[in-house]
Amino acid sequence: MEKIIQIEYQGRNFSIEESAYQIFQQYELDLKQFFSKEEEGDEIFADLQYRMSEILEQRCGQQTIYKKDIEALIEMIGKPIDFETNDTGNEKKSTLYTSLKKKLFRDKKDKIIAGVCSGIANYFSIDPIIVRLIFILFTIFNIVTFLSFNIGILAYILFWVILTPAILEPNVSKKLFRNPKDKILGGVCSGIAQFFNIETWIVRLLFLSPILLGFLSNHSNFSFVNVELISHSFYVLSIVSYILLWFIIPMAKVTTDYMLLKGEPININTIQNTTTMQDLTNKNNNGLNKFFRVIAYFIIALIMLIMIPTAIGILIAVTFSYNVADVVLFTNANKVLAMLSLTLFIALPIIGLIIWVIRKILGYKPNKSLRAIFIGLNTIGWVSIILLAASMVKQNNTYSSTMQKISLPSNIDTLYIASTDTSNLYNEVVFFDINQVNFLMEKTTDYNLIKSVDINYQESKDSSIYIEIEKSSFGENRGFAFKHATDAVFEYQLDSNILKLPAHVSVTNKEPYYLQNVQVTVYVPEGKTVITAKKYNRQINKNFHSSKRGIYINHHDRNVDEDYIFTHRSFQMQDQEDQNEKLKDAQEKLKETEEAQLELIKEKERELAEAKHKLDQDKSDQLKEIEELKNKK
Amino acid sequence: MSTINTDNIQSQMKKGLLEFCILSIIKRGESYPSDIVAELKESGMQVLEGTIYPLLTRLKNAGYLEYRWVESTTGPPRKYFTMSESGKEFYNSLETTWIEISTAVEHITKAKRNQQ
Repeated sequence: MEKIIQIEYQGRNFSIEESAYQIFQQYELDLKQFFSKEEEGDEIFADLQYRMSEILEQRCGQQTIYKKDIEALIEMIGKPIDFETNDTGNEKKSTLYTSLKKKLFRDKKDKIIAGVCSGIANYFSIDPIIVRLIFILFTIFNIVTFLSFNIGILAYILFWVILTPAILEPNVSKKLFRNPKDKILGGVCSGIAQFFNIETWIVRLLFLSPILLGFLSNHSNFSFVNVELISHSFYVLSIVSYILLWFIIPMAKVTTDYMLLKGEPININTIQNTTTMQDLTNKNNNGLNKFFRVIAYFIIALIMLIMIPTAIGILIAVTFSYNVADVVLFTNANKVLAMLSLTLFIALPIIGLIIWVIRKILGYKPNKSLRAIFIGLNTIGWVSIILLAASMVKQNNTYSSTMQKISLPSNIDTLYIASTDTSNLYNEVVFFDINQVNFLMEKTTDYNLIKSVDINYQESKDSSIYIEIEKSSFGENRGFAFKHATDAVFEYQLDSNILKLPAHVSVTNKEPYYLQNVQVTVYVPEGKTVITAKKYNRQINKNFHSSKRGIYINHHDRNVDEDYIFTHRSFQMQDQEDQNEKLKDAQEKLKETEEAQLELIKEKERELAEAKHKLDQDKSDQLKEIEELKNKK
Repeated sequence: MSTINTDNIQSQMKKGLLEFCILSIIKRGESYPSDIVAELKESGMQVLEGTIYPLLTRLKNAGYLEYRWVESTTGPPRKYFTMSESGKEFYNSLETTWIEISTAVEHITKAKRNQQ
């Protein structure tokens, strides 16, 4: 049974079959589009709307309007294409079009922002989508490469200002549209399929395959190649490209759009063909569509499952490390922008997605005002995140660093790395450690102590152990970046074979944090060992894990809570036993040194106790003497 | 190429005459667009309502026609068209041209038929 709906049209009430109403709306859109090209188009369209309501009332009155009634109406009024042949305006337009052809304009009609891309496409007689894609990719590339100004956006604004707007006639015979007649999410796949004249399910499968591959690789073990990494990057690519295409490809609205999509010449015959064909695509592939729809919703649900905890995680992280905002964002303007982008750019889309799914499940129709509010707020989010990114990029667009080398005497076989930080904050390993999230260790009166220290271990070509400490920073330009890097404080203490390093870099709190970072690289020659205390590993490894190239022996996982032992050996495989022996030796040596240290401490304590005891005795002796003297008196 | 030209010439002929016919109907008295269409169809001229409305609007904007709103029994008021003074002048000049052309065409085509 067809659904029958009640509508009010031009002050008259009708009951109409839903499918008939769709055809009617489509027809009305076609008319509107056709007459919008003319100066008095609005008036003509309004007159026609009135007339159509009159015809429908005369024909059907209070009875239900069916498809055949709409067809009769269309026959009376005529299809836009039929007017065209009766119209001299046709020629006027084509001459206008040839005169415009060789000049560059902004397209007033087909636009997303200001019609720049569409105008350029028109000039070269290509599909605007191509120009838009090139522009977006170029802009993203530009953002990623951290140039101080964005050539893409700059060029766009320049064209916006220079070019005069004009209503341009489309001059391509084939154009990509999203196809609303056969859609699951946005009609991107079916539009592409129509464009290339292939089956829709092929395109859908192409978009889905990376995601399916991703699931497969998660549940199977391919150890020889990193399938996971490859499939992960592909499925991110497929989701991102779908969303991007959804955004930039326009929705086919009128009959002529569908014909442009297929690259058919536009005349009366093809228009008739298209109308019948549209009905066909609706009924076609119903089972297959259902299958893809199920998968599409499943993926959305999955993304939600991933996104919601992530968003909650971000919110928790930001709340608990509120002082990060102080250090990195620094100015109030940046903080406000960050807050806006956090709520409107991250939180809002998730809430929107949840609402969308719930409404979809409950079978609500899309709500225009809700969507408008959402788009409006989200746009503010976009603007603020772009402004924030621009401000951060401006602040941190150049990188510079300064290097310092510590060479150890060649007679040292084992280097012991410990921490200068006496704080007990990081001694306990707990399941959820707020301090892991918080990269700011402490605030002193002049400095922010920031946990931004990485430690790397490498094989040395030298015969002795040496250490390189590289302080790096970003800044507005090279000079500033270098100054920030040299001003950052990282004081180490070297006491024979014990190197004490701070777990933080100290940065002045009079300026924002310019991403100053310290890279400690320990070069270990063959046969020598570096042992890093687990306490220090805990302090630095939480946020910024070290990259461990070279050979390390005692563990494969940085999260293992042990002293970190690194020995260099040649790359030819040696006997496992040999290695183990060396390891044991190293550990014993460490134990010995520790025991010796303990012994030393005990001895010192004993001495101290003795000294104290002696002092006390002396004191009591003296007191006795004084008393004796008193008694004598 | 040749078919397009025929189409074009036919539509050109029709279009010029259509305006003339519409004007002559309106000249007789206040008219409603759908009545105009009905009358045109009755006399054997195939025309779509979608073509009439743009023509009327253009003629009105050129100052040849005027309209007024007339209350209707069934719905909102309807637009009725009448001819303005300049419309009458325009109509007269069209009529003169039509008579000239039609006699000429008649004469030529008749002569040809006689030859055959």
